[in-house]
Amino acid sequence: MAVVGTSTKRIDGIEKVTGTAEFTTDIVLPRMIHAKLKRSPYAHAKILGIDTSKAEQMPGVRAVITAADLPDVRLGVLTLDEHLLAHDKTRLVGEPVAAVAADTPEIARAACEQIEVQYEELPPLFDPEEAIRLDPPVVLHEEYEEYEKLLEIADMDERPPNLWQAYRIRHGDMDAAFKKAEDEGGHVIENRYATGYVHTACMEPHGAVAQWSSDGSLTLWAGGQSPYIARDGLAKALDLSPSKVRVIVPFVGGAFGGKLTVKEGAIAAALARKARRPVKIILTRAEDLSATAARTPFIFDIKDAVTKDGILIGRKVTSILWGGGYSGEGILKPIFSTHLYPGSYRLAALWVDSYGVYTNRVSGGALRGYGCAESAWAVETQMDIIARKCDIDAVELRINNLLTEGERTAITMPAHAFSAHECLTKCADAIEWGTPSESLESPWYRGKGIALGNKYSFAPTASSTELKVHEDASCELRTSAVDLGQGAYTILTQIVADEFGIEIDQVKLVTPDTAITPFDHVAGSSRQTFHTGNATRMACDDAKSQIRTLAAPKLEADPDDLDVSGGRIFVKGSPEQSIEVEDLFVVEMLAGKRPADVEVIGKATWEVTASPHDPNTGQGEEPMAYMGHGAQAAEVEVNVETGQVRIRKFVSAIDVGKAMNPQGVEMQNYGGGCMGIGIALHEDMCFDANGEMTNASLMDYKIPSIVEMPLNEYMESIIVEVPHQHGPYGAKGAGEIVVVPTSPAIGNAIYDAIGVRIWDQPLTPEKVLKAWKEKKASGNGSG
Amino acid sequence: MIDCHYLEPTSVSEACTLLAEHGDGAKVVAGGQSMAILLRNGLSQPSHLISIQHVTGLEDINASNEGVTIGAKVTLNRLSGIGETHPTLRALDDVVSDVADQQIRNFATLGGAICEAHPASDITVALSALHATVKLAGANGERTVPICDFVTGAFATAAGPGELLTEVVVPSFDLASAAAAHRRFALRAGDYPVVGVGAFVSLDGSGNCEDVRVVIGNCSGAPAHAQEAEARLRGNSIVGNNGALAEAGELAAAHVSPADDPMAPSEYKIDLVSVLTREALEEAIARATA
Repeated sequence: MAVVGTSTKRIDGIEKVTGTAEFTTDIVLPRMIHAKLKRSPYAHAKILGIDTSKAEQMPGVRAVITAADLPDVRLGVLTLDEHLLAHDKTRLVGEPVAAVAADTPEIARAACEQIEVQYEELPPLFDPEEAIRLDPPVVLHEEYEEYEKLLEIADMDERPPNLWQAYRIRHGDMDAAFKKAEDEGGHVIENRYATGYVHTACMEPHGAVAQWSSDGSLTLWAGGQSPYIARDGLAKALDLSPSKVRVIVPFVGGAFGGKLTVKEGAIAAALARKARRPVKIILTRAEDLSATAARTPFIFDIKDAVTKDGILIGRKVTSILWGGGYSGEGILKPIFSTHLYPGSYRLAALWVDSYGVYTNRVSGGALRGYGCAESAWAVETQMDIIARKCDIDAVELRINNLLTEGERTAITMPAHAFSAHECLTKCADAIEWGTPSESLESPWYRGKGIALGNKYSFAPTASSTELKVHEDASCELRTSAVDLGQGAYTILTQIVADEFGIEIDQVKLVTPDTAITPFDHVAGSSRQTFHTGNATRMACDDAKSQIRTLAAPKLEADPDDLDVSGGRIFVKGSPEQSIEVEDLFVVEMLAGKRPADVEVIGKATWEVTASPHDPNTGQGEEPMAYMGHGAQAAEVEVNVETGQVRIRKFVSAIDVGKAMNPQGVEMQNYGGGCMGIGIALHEDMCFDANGEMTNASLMDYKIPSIVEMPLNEYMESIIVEVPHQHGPYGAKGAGEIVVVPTSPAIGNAIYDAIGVRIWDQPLTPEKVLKAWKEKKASGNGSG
Repeated sequence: MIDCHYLEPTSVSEACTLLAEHGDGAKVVAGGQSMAILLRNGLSQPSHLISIQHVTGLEDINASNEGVTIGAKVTLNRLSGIGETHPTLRALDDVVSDVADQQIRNFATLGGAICEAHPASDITVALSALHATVKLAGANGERTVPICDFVTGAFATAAGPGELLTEVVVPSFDLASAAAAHRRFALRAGDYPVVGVGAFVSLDGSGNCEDVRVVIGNCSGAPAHAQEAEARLRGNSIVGNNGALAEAGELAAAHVSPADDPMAPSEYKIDLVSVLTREALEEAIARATA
């Protein structure tokens, strides 16, 4: 019976629903103490001195550390620009300056208050357009040139001193495209878009528990997205060999890109080493929201050349990623966001200049959709504007510009398993595209909008798994893939059950522990089903091959003529000639039986390579592992007196190649849609003039509730299945594409309803109302 | 963890004695739904928490000719639907179900919600529009204070040392010719509103406005009467006079100067005052003429 492709129950469901699932915060070790961080109150300041003596003398305090207690190494993803604890300067409010471990969290917090830090305030820099100047008013990293960098950026005559990323695309003749558009009655359409500050705001805040062994090795429990990235980061920060670091990942209460590194865990480890006791650190909600990486804003200037028939012939983009004090996990966003500029469309000319800059705010991190969700806002709003300008239906216009299977995009990504057309048309049908929305009584207006989206999954990357077959024919999968709530454990279990023809409950998972489970890159970039799924199938094949070899003499057959399924090994074509898998594990001895000296462990590594891309042209071969497709549509109701936007109907159609667990995909469609709606309409980190976040609580940071979502019958999930040649069973990931088209679909619907454009996210009631009032005052629309 | 003494009196007089004894350091906790947040954020740092959980006699709802008396410990969930049994409380009923969520409303008390004196509280706005009074018990006996005098600013009340809020009284009015209503705009279900407006109208025999009260929340520290809007309407024809109501809304908006906050800039709050004032008045008139 096929298990893959069916909506089996989540294997972690009972544990999570009954509260027995163990998360980082549940871990309690003997003699464990608690850590708190002393954070900078200034966005930009020199540290002149730190006096920890009062804190150290407090009863119950076991260790206090500052940068002086740590190896002098800078950390980072690709530009190593950040110390674990602020070294000589702080570059954002909330940057950790010192840390305390004490018997209770309360003592640790009180001790932090007793640490005296002498600062010399420096003028802060918040504006990205100031930051990118060649002569900026403030320079954040004076020693930037000396930093270790693992990534080449585009050539520049002179690097603006606050710039940490530059990437160019030079494809086709840009001038000719604009000239053609102007000469032949087409259009040149230029607009500026911006995204907002968004936080992952996971239910589970960041945290870790660190424990040292007497041999100088470290064990860290932390609910993160990658035990191996965490291990290597800890090793680097604490000057250890990675083999001395063991990372165990308990259940994770959401990550969404926000738990790629374990900065707090490394600080806890340093405290644990000094205190010679296990240390737990759990960030408060306010710390989590204000001082861990966020999705920081982009500014996009986009200029399109279009023929009078609505064919896109050229696109020019300049973008700035509004980075924070450190480059962090946002380092690749200015590059990866460019995948949406061609997206699913044919573009004869594409020129892009994409930058990332330092400012004295929270550092840029990953959040579901890494760059694509942001650039889609600009591109897919632009497509709506083009359609209206050319007086062509917005769905038809998009279809007319789509690539076809086998073509390459302007940045050389092959269009494969190209389902954009199917996603778009199914989505359009579901929202009854072409039928105008009903008129409502004043002051409410209804309108519909649609948008297309893509999400790449990055390469190079690799996943390894091991598959042990037990005496009872059950299977044990050892994987460092992480279930963040997306359902990875269930899907991997389904694959093993399917490959071995056994029941789900005959599969056991050994979850991430770098001492036991093999390398897996990361639970990120929608890669777990695709890459770990492939590695799991291959490990199953390896194990089955071992079983066939063991069984061949017993069945007096060639191993290649054997098959393994349902706990039996049989000769292909003659299933009656078979033995049980458990027969392999016993030998006859005298008149009895004893366990045989047999071990069946399949192993596999699935790897996807990528060719380097020239940062000056954006051209290369096979830049990514695969490209996902999806379309979403929204019908909104807008109140022109209050600016309130209600989502009446929402449709999400995504291509997953093969729905490994259809209900799981449906949940991604719904959950992603809800998150996308929150990002589009509600969520916004606010900062005061000193750079401090002013809404760092879940009361003030507006994650929408279920009440703000469309009613069940108006929320539609559509699963498209166009198999990918390299996907396991043809599958692609579903985790991120579901938030990519959401904002532009909603923005376009607002325009359809009341004829105004909001250019910067989120599309809050006050912005909608302001735009409406401006439209009324000027007597026409603004888009 | 909060480091303070936790005392559990069993009567109003014992609670008042403890409050007087511990002075400014003493704070009352009832359902704990406001206090827990104040404590967590360090906005309140009491030396003594006086829990009135075991104080009896503060959980009744009684109606008389003078009005409806509601005990300070009545939970918000018990007030949900109160407008059906006590029609003069419809404006209060308009808001209670919008406060936070079901779990919080199971614990949150009316007295606690008033004494928190949150500038965005819909409850104090609705009660102000209803001309409610609160009864304070103290060492020297009881006193009654109009709610609009009781809430003196953001998180500030007129409760003196040793005083405990025991009851809220909503005075009677003639349901045949008067009514109140509340309208709010929040960014999210369960949130404090960006702006809330309470309105009360009473009509004379010819449909003119005999009395009117418009109270605006979250545009200043305490709920504020929109006196200019009230003056525009008092004595004038208001039934079916949408122009007058819109004008009242605009007058109310013209006389508020709210501060920016992370929920909304001042300018947007002013826009909402205009819309919500008109809507609250429309609803109150509709109820008075129903």
